[in-house]
Amino acid sequence: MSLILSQINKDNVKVGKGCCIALGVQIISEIGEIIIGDYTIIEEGCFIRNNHIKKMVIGSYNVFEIGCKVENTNIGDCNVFEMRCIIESDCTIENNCRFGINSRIPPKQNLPNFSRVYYPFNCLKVPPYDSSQHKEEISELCAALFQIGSKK
Amino acid sequence: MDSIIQYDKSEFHETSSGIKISKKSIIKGTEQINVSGRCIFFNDVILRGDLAKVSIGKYLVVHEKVTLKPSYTYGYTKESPTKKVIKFLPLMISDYVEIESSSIIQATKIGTCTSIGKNCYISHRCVIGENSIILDDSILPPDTVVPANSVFGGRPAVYIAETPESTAIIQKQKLVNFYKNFVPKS
Repeated sequence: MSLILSQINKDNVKVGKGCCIALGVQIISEIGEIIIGDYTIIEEGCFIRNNHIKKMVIGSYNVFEIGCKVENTNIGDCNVFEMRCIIESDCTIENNCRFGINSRIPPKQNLPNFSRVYYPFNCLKVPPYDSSQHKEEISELCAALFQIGSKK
Repeated sequence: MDSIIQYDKSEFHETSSGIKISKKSIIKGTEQINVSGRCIFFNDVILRGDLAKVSIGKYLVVHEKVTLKPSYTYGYTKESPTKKVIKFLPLMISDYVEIESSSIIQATKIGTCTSIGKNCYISHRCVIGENSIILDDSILPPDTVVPANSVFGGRPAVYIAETPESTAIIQKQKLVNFYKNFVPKS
């Protein structure tokens, strides 16, 4: 089960198992749906919006740190979006990417697997690695947050 | 020098020990938050006290849109003494600290008489020493230790200068006057 602390419109937004969504998060889907995978962590103050008619898919094991802003992009698995990064509309992001603090991605970009983006606009590619350690760490974090959130 | 700031009484809660919290701020887990007194929290402040203990000193001023969140590490606990487990570290903010707008703070300890600028990103497990100044728009990577009496700034933040010996007294006077002049509209 997932831990959702802010108010989300549950008709248009579907959240997988084990997710942790913190306070102050705005997930806005006007026409198309937003589908979020398993074990994603969305921290405080994030802003996710879908303006298109098509659905927007966010994969599993992603981490959205404080203050991120994502619009109209399809996202794969095991990505990390650090604090206050801005991803503008119509991009596609594949798996295992990492976006540094305060980075900005202009519209209509395609980012392949294993890419790293640093402030202000440097983009590197890293040799492929096994992402099973990342998945273990994130599922442990989700379990710890869920345990704290459901205590009351 | 003394500029009186008047606020609308309907927008702020005031407690008996002199803490003034804006009604638009989001504070969670108030059982574990321990505030000494006479602090001011402006609009849109997010303070998470449910993850770990938060202990705050006196005369703290937190401006708009600041996020204060405890950080975590992997360590041994009483329940699992052999296997490393996620532990949330307590957040300690000392007396006479000023945090300017839109900063994100995930440090473990902030020393006395420090001032943190606008749009700063202080990452996990940082330790900030006393009497130090962190300039605007600076990014501190995780696990940095800022020594006492220093000025840090830049992206990534590096040591720039040493603060003079009078910063402690100036900061104390500035924040005591700020609290005195923060007065409801009559």
